[in-house]
Amino acid sequence: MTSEQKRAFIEGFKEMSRFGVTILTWGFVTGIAMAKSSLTVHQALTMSLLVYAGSSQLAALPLITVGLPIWMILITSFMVNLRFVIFSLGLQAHFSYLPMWRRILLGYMTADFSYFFYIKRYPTPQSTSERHADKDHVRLYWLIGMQFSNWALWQVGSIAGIFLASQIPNSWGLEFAGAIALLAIIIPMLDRAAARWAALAATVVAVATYGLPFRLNIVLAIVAALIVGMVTDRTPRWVAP
Amino acid sequence: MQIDLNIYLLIIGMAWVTAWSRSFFLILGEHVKVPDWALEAIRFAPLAAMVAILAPEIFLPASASSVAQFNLRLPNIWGGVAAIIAFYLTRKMLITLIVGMGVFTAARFWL
Repeated sequence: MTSEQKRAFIEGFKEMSRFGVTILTWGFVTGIAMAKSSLTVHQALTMSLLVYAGSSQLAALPLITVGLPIWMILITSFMVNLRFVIFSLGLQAHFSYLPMWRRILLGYMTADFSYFFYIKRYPTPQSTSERHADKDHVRLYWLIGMQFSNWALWQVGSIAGIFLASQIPNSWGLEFAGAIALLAIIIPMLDRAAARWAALAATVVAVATYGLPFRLNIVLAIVAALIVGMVTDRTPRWVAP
Repeated sequence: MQIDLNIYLLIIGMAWVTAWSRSFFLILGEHVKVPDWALEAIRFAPLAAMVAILAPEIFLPASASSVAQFNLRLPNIWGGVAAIIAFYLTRKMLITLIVGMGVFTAARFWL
């Protein structure tokens, strides 16, 4: 890493770490759920370290317990991950220039939070000339710094959850603490009317369609929010030539 | 033993699915140029995804399977609303957690 890259990495690492409590809590909740499922401690640790996708892990646990075939669980994982397919479209515009293995690694490491903060800071991709001027790939290293922090915090929370699960009574309602912690990331994003309308649409649709399989309510909520967001957005999109 | 091996195969498969879904369009590389309108359209996607994860946790019971289980006596609703107000007013994570969990726990006793 050049010194510029190191600076960007550390800045990204710090940015994500500000939300440490939220990420730790989500990891912790996932870890507890794995420990209380039919997985052994070793299996739970392996799953946490390799799969690194909280919602698809949570969706898979009951299916593992009832002994569904592997391919059905994998299809479920993919369906639960559909929102990441949408996010990868956003990342592609920014990082299509990287070699294949780096693109795949970058995608694998980009969970909800890191994509969320990246696209907030850099809404539009660099033009070819801007990218050539930016020799240090500052954006990339800022994202990698965030990803690193996101991964480490989530794993610490998840592994702590696996080992402490037996000490935590169900009656505490700890999953709910995970939900509350998410507010700290969402509420600051509601700074514009269009964002608030989009969030309201997502809320209504996500709750109303909660009965659908494969967490499809998330995908439908995204579609609804995109439509409502575009319609209510008052910033001019097309500047007259 | 057989079952054990299957679990590890599944875990590797799930890791592969994570990588594949999260780099779905990234894999295409420079062969495809994502049109501007598509980037414009997905601006609200990450916000919507997080809201969609959070909202059912607040407005439906923990083991809910459908919206039919919504009712105003759910402690999550009151705890969630209290937490939202607390965060709006203070912007402090710890206060938000204490207020939210406090109201949630109190509502579980009284409602």
